[in-house]
Amino acid sequence: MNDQISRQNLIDHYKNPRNVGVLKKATNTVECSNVTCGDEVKVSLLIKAGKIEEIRHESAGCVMSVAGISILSEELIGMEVEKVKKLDKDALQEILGIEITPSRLKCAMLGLEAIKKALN
Amino acid sequence: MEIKNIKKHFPILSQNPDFTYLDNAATTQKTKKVIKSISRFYRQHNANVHRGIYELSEKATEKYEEVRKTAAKFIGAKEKEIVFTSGTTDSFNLLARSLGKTPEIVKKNPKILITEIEHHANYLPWREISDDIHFARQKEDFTIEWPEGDFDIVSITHASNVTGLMPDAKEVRKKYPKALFILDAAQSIAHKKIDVKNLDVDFLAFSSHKMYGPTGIGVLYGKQELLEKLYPLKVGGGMIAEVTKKSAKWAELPERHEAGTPPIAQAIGLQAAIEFLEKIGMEKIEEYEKELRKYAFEELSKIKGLKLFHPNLEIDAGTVFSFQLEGIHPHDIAEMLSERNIAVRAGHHCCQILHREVLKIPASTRASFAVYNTKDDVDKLAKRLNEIVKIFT
Repeated sequence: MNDQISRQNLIDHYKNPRNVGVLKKATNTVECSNVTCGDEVKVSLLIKAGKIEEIRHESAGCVMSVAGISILSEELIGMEVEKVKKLDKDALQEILGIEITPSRLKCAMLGLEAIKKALN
Repeated sequence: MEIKNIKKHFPILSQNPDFTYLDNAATTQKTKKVIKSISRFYRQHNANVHRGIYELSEKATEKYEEVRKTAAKFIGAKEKEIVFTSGTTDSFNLLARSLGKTPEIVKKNPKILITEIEHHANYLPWREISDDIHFARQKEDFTIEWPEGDFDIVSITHASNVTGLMPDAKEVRKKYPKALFILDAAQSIAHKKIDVKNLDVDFLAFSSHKMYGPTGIGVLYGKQELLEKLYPLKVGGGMIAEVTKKSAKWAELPERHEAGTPPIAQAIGLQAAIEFLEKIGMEKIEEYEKELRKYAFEELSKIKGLKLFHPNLEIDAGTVFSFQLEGIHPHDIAEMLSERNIAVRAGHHCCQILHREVLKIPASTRASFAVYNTKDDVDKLAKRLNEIVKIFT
């Protein structure tokens, strides 16, 4: 069994999510939710010269979804938009440093999907 | 058969002694005999039932009809009153849609009473035949407030798959003497002695896979005079008396409501499951699970920040415990329990009305116990829940 949630890093991000809020100068915004479990996330992005300059989010839900978007809000800064659009499950597993089980895939992907949706 | 050490009869449990299975309201594990009986049927007796004029088919038919006898006896019914379906959901779909075509039994657009705690299987099929559905409210203590008035149909759970509540079916029957009275016994069949005559129930549905039997088979019980009148919704092979280019006459009970090749091997498995329950004795199971419920209720109540959606011990209920841990999402709880090999379920448990409109939460975590669970399993659950609370504080 893998102790993914028990990992202190995820719990830390869940309890104290980074970059919470709304960007006033946002270039891209989106709201997403997982109907089945009630997870919700609002994302605002600032894009400059084809790169992500800033990310803010407001999210409610489980550890996987909240910590997921919190970690992404740090890790994706400075990344090219075209590169972000290509991120998939495997890339997310690497960024989060955990193996995502099938039952939690939707939760973990919520933040990434929101960001990708905002970019489109 | 003794309940002590009963886990040894279940391969998944005996082969994985560190696995704590607490998702029994979703499906129970299967006994060795259930598994063997299905395999033996396919190895030694497989043929289609009815009208095969050769020994193997006669044997298969005999075995299949034997299960009907066993199932009937198990709930105090007559053989003809047992219709095999694919499960409780199928039973309710068949029943509701058939009643919708049988004005001799119930008028068009009937006035129906269900409760706020029903599984979607005892709600959505009724919507197919009526827009006059009334919900009996759940009270603060998780019991039901039964409204005054006359209803054409009263269809209620015999045991909730979320709160565990076991409403007093006999009392409800008395309150609505004129209504067609229907019980969803999916969550009670493996835990409580059921006697359809004593309950004076008109129809009752249950699934084999929640009573240690295989998936793919269930029962719709109906009083003989009602099943004889009930429009046969599913038509096709095996359920006719005579077919011409212009007409069709339906077969007598029980074939009338069983179109197509039935789940024969699954029925054989159900037989072994019923025999397992009878060998222990339903009274003994009730007694054992009552004690287990008390222990689980007390131990779970001790956990800081845990809110139980389960009635107090003086109210009749089963061993189903849905709960919330303050500030922790049910999916996280379920996953962190899984990290310790404890299997529970997280979600709305097919009861969205109860969760969203009554309890006002999107989801809960549910631990549900069966006859093979022990106080030790409760301890393992409580220990890990306490650890989870600590991780989050």
